[in-house]
Amino acid sequence: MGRERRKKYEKGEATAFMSRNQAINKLQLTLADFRRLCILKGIYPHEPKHKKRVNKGSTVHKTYYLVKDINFLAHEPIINKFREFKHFVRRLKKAINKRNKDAEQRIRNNKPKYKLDHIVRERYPSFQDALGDLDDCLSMCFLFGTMPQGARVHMEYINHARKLTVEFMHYIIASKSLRKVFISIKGIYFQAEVMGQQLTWVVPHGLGYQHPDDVDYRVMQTFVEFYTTLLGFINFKLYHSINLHYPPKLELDAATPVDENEENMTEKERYQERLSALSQTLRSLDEGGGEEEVQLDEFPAVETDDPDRVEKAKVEAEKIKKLQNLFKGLKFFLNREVPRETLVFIIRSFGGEVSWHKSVAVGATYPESDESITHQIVDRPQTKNQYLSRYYVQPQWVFDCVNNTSLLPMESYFPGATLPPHLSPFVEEAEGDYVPPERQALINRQLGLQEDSGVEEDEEGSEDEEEEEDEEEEEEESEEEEEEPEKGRGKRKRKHETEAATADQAKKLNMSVEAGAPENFNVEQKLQRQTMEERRLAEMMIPKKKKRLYDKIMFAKKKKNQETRKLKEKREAIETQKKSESKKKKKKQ
Amino acid sequence: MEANVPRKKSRLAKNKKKAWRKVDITDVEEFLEDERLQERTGGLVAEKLDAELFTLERKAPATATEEPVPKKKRRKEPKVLKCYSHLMPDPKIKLARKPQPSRKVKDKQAPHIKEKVLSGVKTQKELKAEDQRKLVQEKRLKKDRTKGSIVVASYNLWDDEPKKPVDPFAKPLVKRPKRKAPSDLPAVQVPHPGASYNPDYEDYQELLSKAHEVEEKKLLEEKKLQKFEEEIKKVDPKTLERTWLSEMSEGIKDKEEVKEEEEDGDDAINAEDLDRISVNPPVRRESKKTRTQRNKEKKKKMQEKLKAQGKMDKTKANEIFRLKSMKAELDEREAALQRKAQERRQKWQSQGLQTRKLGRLKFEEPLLEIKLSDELEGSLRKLKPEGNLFVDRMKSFEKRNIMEPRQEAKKYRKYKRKTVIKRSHKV
Repeated sequence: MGRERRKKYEKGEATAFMSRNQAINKLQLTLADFRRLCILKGIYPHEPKHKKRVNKGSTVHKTYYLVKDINFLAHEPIINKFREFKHFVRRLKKAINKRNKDAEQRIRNNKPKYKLDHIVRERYPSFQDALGDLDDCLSMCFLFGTMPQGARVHMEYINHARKLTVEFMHYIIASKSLRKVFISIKGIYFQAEVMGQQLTWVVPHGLGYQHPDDVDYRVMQTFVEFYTTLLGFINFKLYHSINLHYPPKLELDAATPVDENEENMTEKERYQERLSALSQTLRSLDEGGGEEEVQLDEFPAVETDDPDRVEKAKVEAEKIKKLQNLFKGLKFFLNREVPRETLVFIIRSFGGEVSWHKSVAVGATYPESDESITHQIVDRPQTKNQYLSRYYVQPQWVFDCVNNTSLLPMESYFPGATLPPHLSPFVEEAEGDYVPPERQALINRQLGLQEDSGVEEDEEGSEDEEEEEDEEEEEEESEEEEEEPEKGRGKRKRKHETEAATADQAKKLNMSVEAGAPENFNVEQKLQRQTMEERRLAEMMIPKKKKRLYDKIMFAKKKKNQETRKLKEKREAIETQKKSESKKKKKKQ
Repeated sequence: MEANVPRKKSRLAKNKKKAWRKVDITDVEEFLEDERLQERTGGLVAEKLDAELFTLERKAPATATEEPVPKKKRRKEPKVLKCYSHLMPDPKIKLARKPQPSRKVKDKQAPHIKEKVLSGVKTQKELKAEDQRKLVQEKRLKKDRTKGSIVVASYNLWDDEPKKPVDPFAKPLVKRPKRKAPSDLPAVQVPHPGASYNPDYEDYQELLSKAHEVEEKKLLEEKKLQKFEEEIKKVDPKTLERTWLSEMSEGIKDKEEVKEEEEDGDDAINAEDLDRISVNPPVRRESKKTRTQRNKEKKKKMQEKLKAQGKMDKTKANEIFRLKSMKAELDEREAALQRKAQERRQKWQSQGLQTRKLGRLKFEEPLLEIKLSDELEGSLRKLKPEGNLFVDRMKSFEKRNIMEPRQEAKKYRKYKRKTVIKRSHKV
C-alpha cells in the first residue's frame, strides 16, 4: 500500500555528482591519464552547492565531477589509445631488457598515435566559438615557444608551438588586425581584432626569463597539446580567408643561402628561420589579383532609419583604415639592444618596413647604411649619429604611436631623453573620472589630429556635399539617396557626374554654380552634441517619482566630479611648486 | 780466524751426472729449441741469403690510410634465445641416416585435383586471400611513418560538409552535454596601468597603495597573533598548572563519584533525582473539582472567547481607517522583498566571476607584481621582468575554475632509514 521508505542520498545532488576517485574507477584509467583526458575534452570539476548532501554527511574536501560528464567521457575513443600506449611501454621495456634489438626497433616504429581533430570539432562546433577561446590558446603557445631545450617538456611541442605562433603573427601582419600594445613588467600584451572578435594575449619578454620549478609541466604540456592542434586548424582557416597558402610559403623563395648564418642549416631550418624573421611577405593563393582595395559594402536599405549609426560606423571604419597604414612609407632599422621580434611584428603589421643587422638574425632585408631609412630605433643613451637623413628614436615611440593611432612628435623620444610614461591603452575613462594631464594631452592630440584630418578630408567632401545639396534643392523629386554608394566610387567620377548634372540644371534654371567656402563640419563633434541633447530631453521626461532617485544619482556624480577637480588642483599646485623650485635652483646657480 | 776468506769457486765436474744436474742449462736448451723450430718451419735463418729475408722499398708508400680501428665487436646477439636452445638440434649428434624419399608413397593427390591446380584457375578462397593481401599491403604503405606525433593541419575543420549517409547499425553519437562556461572572467586579464614598464605617476601610486593594503592586512593578522601570544605568556606557570588540571577534567567523573552512584542503586529516589524528574503532587479527593465548578469554568472560558471575538470584530470594522498605514506597511514589505531579490540577483550574476573551491586546497590570489620605485628603470633595455607567466597562467586556470589548486605530493618513506656500520669498518 505505502511506498518504500525513502532513503537519504538516493535522489538529487547526491546522484548528480561523482568524486574524482569514483570517476577514475568507473573509467578504469590512471590519475594522470584521467587528468589528461579531462583537459583534452574540456571537462571541468564542479562545486556542489551543498557538499554535505553530496558526500553523504561528511565534509571532507573532494573534487567533484558531474555524473553526466563522466558518462560522456566514457565514450571517448582516445581512452583506448591511452591503454594501447601503456601496453606499448610495457612491451618496449621488455624488449630493451632482453636486449632484443629487432623487437625494440619494430615496437618503436609502431608507436600508437592519436589525433585530436574530432575533439576540437566537438568542443568548438563553429569557427566563432573557437575564436572565442583563442586568447588562452595564444598565450600558452607563445609561452611554450620561448622555452629552451632541456626543459621538462618534449621538444616537439616547443617547436610546434613556435611554428604556429610565427604563422599566426604572419596572418596578423597580412590582415593588419593588430590594434593595441602594452608593455608591462610581466610581459607584452597585444590586442587584435580578428573576424569581429577581440583577441588579447601575452607574450613573455625575451630576456631574463626564468622557468620555475613549482609549475606542473605535464599539465601544461597537455594544454599545449590541445591548443597546438586548435591553433593549427584556426591558422588554416584564417589563411584561407585571406587567400594565402597554408602551410605558408614565402614570396622570395630563394633556396640558396644568403648569410654565413644560413650555411650550416638544413633547408627546413633555413625556411623556418626566414619565416620566423617576419620580414618577408607571404605568397597568396590567387596570384596577381590580391592588390585591389576592398570596397566597403554599403547596405542602404537596412539602416537609413538610423543615419547616426551609419555615420558612426563610417567614422570607425575610417579610423581603423588610418591605423592600419600608420607606418606606411616609413623604413625602420633596429639596433642590437632592442627587442627585435616584437618590434618587427608591430611595425610590419602597420605597414612599415623593418630590418636589422645581419649578424643578429637571419632575414635582414637591408643594411644599416641604406640611405632610405627614415627611423632608427636605439635604446642606448649616446649614439654616434652618423646619418642625418634619419631620426633616432627609442622603442617606446613605436608603442605609443600605435596606442595613439597617430605618429607622435619625436622630441621626447630621442635617445637619452627621459621618456613620457607608457600609458595603458586598455583603460577607458568614464565620464567623471579624474584624467591625468598627460593622458588628457594625448586624448586632445588624438581628437585634435582627427579634427585636422577631418577638416582636410571634408574640404573635398564638403565641396561634393555642397553640390549634392544643390542637387537636392533643385531636384525635389524623391531621388534615392545615392550618397552612400557614390562615396564608394572614385571621387573624381562623382565630381564629373555632379558637375554635369548641375551644369544641365543650371542651364535650365539660370543659376550659377560657384565654389563655396568649406564648412568646418566635424562629424564627431556633431554626434557628441546630438547625444547631449537627447540626454537632456530624456531627463525632462522622467516621471516625478523616479526623479528623486535620479537626482540622488546625479548628486553622487557631482560629488565625484568635485573630488576629481580637487585632485587636479593638487596636481597643479605640485607642478607650480616644482617649477618655482627649479627656478630658484637656477637662480642660485 | 779471519772471516770473509774468499771462497773458492766450485768448479764444475764434467764427468759426474750429479754435478751436471746442478747447472742451469736453460739458455742453451732454448737456443737449440729455437734452431730446431727454424729448421722445421723453413730452414735456418742464419744460413739464408739476405735477399730472402729483406726487400728494398724503392717507391714511397701511398698516403697511409690508417688501418681502420677494429670496431668493438659486440657480443653477437644470438638470434635464437638461449632459453630455446634445447629445442634446436644438437650439432654434435649426427643423423643416423638421411631421410630418403620413399618410393612406396606416391602422389596422394587425385588426378582431377592435380589438373585443377595445374590449370591455374583459382578457388574463391584463394581469390579472397589475394584481395585481402593487397589491402594489407596498401595499408602498410599508407601507414603514417612520421617520427613525431604532431601533424600539420591540412584540411578545414569547420567546413560544412554534406552529411554522410547515416549507417543504421552504427552506434548513436553521444552528444556533448551543454554546460555553462566555468567562469565569466576573461582569459587574459589586462594588468593595472601602473604595472607598465614606464608607468604614469598616478597609476603607479594607485598600484602601490593596493600592494600596501595587502601588506597592511598581513601585518594586522600578525599583530593579532602576537597579542594573543603575549597574553598567554603573561600567565604564571604555577597558576596555569593549577587551573589546567581542573579545566581539563571537566565532565570526567571521578572514581569516588562513580562508586557513590553505584551504591545508591535504583530503589530510593534521591533528592537530586527529584529535581530532574517532574513529579506532580499526588491527587487527593479533596482537590477534585465538582460539576458546578467545572461549569463555571466553562462559562468563564466562553465569555472570554466572546469578548475576544467582539474585540476582533471591532478592530476589523475599524480597519478602514487604518488603510493608509496598512498600505505603508505593505509597501515597506514589498520594498524589502525587492531589495532581497536584487541582492539575490547580484549574487547570482557574480557567481560567474567567483572562484570556486574545487579541491582540498584553497585558491590563493597571486601576489601583485610591482617594481619598487628604486627598481623602476624606465628603459626597455634595463627592464628586468617581474613575475612569471607560467605561474600566472596556472593561477588563471585555477581562478577560472578550470583546474583545482594542486600541491606536489610529498615523498615519504615507508620505513625509517637505519644506519648500520659494517663489521669490517668497526674499530
